[in-house]
Amino acid sequence: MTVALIWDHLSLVLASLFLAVAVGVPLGLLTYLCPRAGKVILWVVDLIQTIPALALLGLIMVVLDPGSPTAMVGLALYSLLPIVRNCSLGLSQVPAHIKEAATGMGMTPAYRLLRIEIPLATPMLLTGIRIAAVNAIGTAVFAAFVGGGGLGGLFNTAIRQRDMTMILLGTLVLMVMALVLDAGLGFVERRISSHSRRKLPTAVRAAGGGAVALAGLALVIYMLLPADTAGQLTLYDGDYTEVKLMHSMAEQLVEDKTDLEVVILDQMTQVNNYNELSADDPSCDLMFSYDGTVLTTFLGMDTTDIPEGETLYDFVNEEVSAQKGLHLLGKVGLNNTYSIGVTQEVVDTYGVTKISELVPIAGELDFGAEHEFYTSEGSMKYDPFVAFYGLNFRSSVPVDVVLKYNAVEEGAFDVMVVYATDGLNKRANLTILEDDWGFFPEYYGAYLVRDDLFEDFADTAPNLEEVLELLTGNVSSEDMVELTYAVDVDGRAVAEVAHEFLVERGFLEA
Amino acid sequence: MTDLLLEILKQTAIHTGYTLVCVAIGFVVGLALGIGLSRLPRLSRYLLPLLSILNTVPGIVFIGVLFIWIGMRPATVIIALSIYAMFPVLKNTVTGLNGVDEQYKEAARGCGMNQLQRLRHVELPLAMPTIIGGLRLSTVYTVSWTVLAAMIGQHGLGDFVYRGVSSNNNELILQGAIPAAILALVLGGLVDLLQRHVVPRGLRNVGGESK
Amino acid sequence: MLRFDHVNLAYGSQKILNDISFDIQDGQFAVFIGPSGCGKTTTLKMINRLIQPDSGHIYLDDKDISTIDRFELRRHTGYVIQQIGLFPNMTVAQNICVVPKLLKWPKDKCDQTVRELLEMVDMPYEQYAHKYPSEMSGGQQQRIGILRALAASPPVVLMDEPFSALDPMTRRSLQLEVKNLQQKLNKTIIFVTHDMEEALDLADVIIFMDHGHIVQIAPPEEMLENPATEQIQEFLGKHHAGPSPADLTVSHFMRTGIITVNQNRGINECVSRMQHHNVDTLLVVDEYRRYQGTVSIADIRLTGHVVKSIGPLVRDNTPVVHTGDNAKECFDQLISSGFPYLVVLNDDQTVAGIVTKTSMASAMAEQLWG
Repeated sequence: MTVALIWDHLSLVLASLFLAVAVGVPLGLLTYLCPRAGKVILWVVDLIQTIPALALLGLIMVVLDPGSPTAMVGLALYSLLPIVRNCSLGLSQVPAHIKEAATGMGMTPAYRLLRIEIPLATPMLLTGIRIAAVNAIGTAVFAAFVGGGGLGGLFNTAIRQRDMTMILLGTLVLMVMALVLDAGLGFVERRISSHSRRKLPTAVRAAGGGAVALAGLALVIYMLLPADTAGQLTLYDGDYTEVKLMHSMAEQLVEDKTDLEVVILDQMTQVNNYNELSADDPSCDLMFSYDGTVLTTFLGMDTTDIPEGETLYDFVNEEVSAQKGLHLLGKVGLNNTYSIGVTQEVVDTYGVTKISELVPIAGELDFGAEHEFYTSEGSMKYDPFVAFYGLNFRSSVPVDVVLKYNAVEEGAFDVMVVYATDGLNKRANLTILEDDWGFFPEYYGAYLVRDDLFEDFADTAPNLEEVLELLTGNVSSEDMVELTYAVDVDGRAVAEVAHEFLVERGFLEA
Repeated sequence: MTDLLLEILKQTAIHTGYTLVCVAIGFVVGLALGIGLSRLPRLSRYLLPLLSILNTVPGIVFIGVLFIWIGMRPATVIIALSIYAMFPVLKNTVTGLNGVDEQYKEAARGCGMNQLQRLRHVELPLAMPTIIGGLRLSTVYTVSWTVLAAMIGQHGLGDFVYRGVSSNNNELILQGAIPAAILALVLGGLVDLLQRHVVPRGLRNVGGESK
Repeated sequence: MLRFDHVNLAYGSQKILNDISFDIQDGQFAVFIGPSGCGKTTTLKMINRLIQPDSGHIYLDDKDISTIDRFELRRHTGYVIQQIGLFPNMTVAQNICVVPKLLKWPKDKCDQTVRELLEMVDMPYEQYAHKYPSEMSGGQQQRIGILRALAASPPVVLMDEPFSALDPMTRRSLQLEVKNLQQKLNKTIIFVTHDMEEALDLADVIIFMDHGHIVQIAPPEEMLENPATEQIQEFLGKHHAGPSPADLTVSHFMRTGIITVNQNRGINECVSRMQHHNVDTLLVVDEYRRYQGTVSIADIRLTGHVVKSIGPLVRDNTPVVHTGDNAKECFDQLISSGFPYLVVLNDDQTVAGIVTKTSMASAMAEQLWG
């Protein structure tokens, strides 16, 4: 956990909070001034609250693209309810006799609202903001699911690695953040509601308010703007260890061997990362992926679409270049295909070594996989798989990708979809079965880059292509199992493991 | 199409089941703890803010940790969500009971009611609008949190949401989100009905203060 | 008999009650009075053990109350508070029956009690028993508050400034009602107030307190004649000074705040106004608020179904006097006319108030005894 990561989380919370206040306070005013519209407004913000956080972020992601803006807007929508409600509640609770006195003194309604009602409603509004702030700190963890950064990714990794220390540490950070933010806002609330003479002069207060507003605005804009990556080689962080390692290796090699600077942004899933890379205005330059993934998941094609005599890799490269202006560099060697892993118990009982040998015993086995394996896009999914082999498992459970190894280790299922190179296969003592009928296509890992990448950086890094091709053929599946094991099971840092590997293979000086 | 409908209905049923069980447990525990805490004003002054901070522990983290300890079974979901469901009830119970006007407590004492009788006949009925307000919050939130059951293979509408988010599929997300929102509205409406039933007629015109 | 025997109480170093001793006989109406913080409410709350003394004893019928279970004690002691404290979640009937229920009376006995008590204060059972406190006026609520205290027929009733939050008219009628009930039911009433007029009107014995001491215990007349200290004198102050009897005019004697009704108003509104204010006659005025006559509930009952507005039912036979008229002449007129009251008008013929025998008598008593 780094300060940058904590700041990432906090800035996301603050920006969304500011956005929610900027939208919520006018809505609250409207609710108070026009009760009929107010009913609708309150109903809508109430409705937003009923949408599960993950679903809300997922829906916004499709409109806004994954990343910080999605997370910020989602969190802001979630924060609206307490702010709008408390704002209108605070205004409507201003005692009638005070309003009457104000009117009696000849104040116009607008003046009365500005000088009497709003100041009196402010403590209530601040309470609403406090509630929203504390909630947002917890909810912001979901941002990691949509590439919004923050501490969510850290939790995912920690849970996957069963790293209790990290989980507790992360939780502690969240709590401290909540305490500090809550205490800070509480201080402001008391300062505003206390009618003491120690009140700061109007000019100071106005300046302070202006500064806060400006800072908030700046933060929101900062969130909305894509990171300034001009002249830098830009990658997104992977959402699982293998991609993290390969991205880290690319970073270290490029920085060592060229004058380019490399930045690695928030975590993204493969799909989101691809969407960013293939967008009209791409926000990144390359990603580590697999020919099979490009074919099925990204291009939505099937192994049957490959013309006779052509390899998957070649076909994919033609297609993705033609359709999206991207191409794969050389295969690094590892074949991270989907595989079927079985527990030691299954091996001991039935002595299986091939998937086809599961057919007669499937009725006694439970099958598990991440949710993605159960979607219907592409062919490398559950339904086609069981149909192909004629498997009929006793049960089939979708489970969070982060938790699936924990699940299989505690005996939740006997057969599980795994990536061939996952170090956790070793921890969980899973035996990979041979795909003897050849259902799963090859998933050869390679860097996927923009076709014009090397032109763009021709001046600063004329040798960029050579550098990135250094790894071609040099990271085998066995290597990757060792590397991910070092990270996921031994709990070592990605950059360190990557560096060690590069040095060991002679790509970097020690 | 009918298959999909059946699937949605099935997951909605599971979702509803988890929600109801967790809210019920959370309500009972929250009410009991709330009554206890309201008798200990000094303790509750420190404990309540602490509890609201505990609330920031994200559901995914809590379920993840419980999962590692307890395993992949309904109990994990039920324990985690019941605890989350408990918070609003607990908080509102304490607020409601502490908010009972001193005049009623004094009148009750003056009538010769003992602690239990005061609680049963005066304080709880008067705090009921606030407590049910907490139940409503807890119900609506729990519907939304139950999506996390899918995280550890316990199904519910989260299955759609998780699949949808992992494949950027709006349709799938909506298949989970729309029934969840409807469920939240329906259950929230039922709590409102309950509110009307358990809140004595004499209190109804002050019911607006329940939030 | 209630007896305080050298009762002391201190919060930290602050003395609240200092060696309080007194006796109150059964059936007496005892009123505690004194400036804020004098300890009068504290003394009252000790009687049903809401507050415990540091030292000293309190005896109820020669039994030390500290030996009685405090819940039992409270169930057998009526208690009326200033904030009324009717349980808003219970109906009038349920509120009245709180203590009988705690005492596990059978249901029909509870019902019977509610009927009898409501009847006693002229609040029909059918109309009021199932109302909720929020549906009634403050005066009506406090009536129920008093009935609740009386429900289990406790020998002693404690009243802690029960009327201070009510408007003067309502307060007056409730004072009379309480005094009546006390005499009818022969209750011992311990009453706390800061209003000397109230104390003088109600008390058999007044106990004046200051700074946790008892300054004087005396019947009202004796206190008026021989106030023990200057402070009491001051409290009694306005009841002494006044214009000489010869200069008195009607305005000194009249009751103000009289309920009027416009002559164009309908029967129904008129009736509901009577019910709301608990009166059987209203003064009728025209649109310029000039006095036109009176209308009574009896006339409305008799002919109310025939007419729509109250106009035809107005009688103008009640004698009329003016604010500046001499008090003595007015008094003679009241006695000789046989009417229960005279209508007092301002010079512009608008209603100023009424003069009743009671208002006359209390004004004269004030003149006489200060």
